[in-house]
Amino acid sequence: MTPTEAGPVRDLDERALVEACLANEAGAFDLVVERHRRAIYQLCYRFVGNHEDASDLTQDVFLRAYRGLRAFRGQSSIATWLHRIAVNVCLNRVSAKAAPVEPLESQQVEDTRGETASERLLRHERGARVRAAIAQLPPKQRAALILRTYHDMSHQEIAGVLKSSAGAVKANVFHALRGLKRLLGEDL
Amino acid sequence: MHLSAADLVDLAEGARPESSAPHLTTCAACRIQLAELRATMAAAAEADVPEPSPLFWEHLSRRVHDAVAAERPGGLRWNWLPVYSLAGAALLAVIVFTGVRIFVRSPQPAPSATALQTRPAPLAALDQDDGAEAADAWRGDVWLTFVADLAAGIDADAARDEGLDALNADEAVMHLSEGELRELERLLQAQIRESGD
Repeated sequence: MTPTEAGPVRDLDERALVEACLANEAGAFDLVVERHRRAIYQLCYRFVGNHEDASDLTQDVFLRAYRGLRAFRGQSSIATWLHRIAVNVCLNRVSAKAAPVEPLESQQVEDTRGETASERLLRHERGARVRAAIAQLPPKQRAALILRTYHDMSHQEIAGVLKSSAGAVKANVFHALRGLKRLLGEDL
Repeated sequence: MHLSAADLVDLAEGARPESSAPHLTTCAACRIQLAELRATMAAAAEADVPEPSPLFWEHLSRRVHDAVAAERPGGLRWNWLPVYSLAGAALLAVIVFTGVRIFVRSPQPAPSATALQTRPAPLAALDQDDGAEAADAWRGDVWLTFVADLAAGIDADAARDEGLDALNADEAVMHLSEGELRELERLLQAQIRESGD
């Protein structure tokens, strides 16, 4: 069974899909991965700032998700649940080592969006500086900012992920933005 | 009393209108803070994640698929690795000793056994430092063939009665570590010399 041969599981709703995963139905967990891999990868990338680590962390997230399926109560969406796992995996990683941030030259496939070459270069440079600055933030501030800014999670949802309160999340977002401003300086 | 961090974040995100914070009309410091927060948010929002190669996503899904398959109960042979690593060399040697006795005494020619007894020149030469890696690969192939031949000659039912899984002996060779392979080689050569006497 290849990852793309998900067959009839594609028509299942989220709850039924989890049941199918628990029943080891062919293609069920593959479909979970397919639906959420990009979001999880992007979250991990924003945390660690480079493709290699983000790729490894993403795989780790889904493996942990598979192992923890039986504990998933369905009280949140699969996406929120996966984000929670991803944040914990990333927090453990950044506390273990300082991740290298990818230099501008090593960036992958680009979406040119009809820009001029100089506009594209400026955008890349700004983006790289922002990502590098985010990677320097304290872990919880980084997590709160990433989840709020790029994954559109509510403060309450983020509080659930970080085992915190909505008020603490807002404070983390505030301090993260202040820290980002300080790091980016004149670039803003 | 200045606006709190939570107030400023709510205002910057547009979760509440500025009219709900009349303090802003009289406090330049809070207005500046709010403007800076909005500018930083806008800059952060523009920072995309570089899109990886289109092949990356399928490759990632495949890696996850394989890792998950390896964890399933009754899943892959990889689950047998710890058994083979810890006791596999000894168990395999017992299986193979039986096969060696049958094989060496067989009237049919045994090219694999002959190759091992005479220790072919390429293997000897490759035991030098430069060729260590190639020698290991060659050594594994030779033993794999030899063990497969021996295992084919073993009575599987009899072996199973003795608690041995002879049919997987050749597979076991594939998963032995370098140290285990060397030990197996030593044991087999000793047994071949003894059986040939």
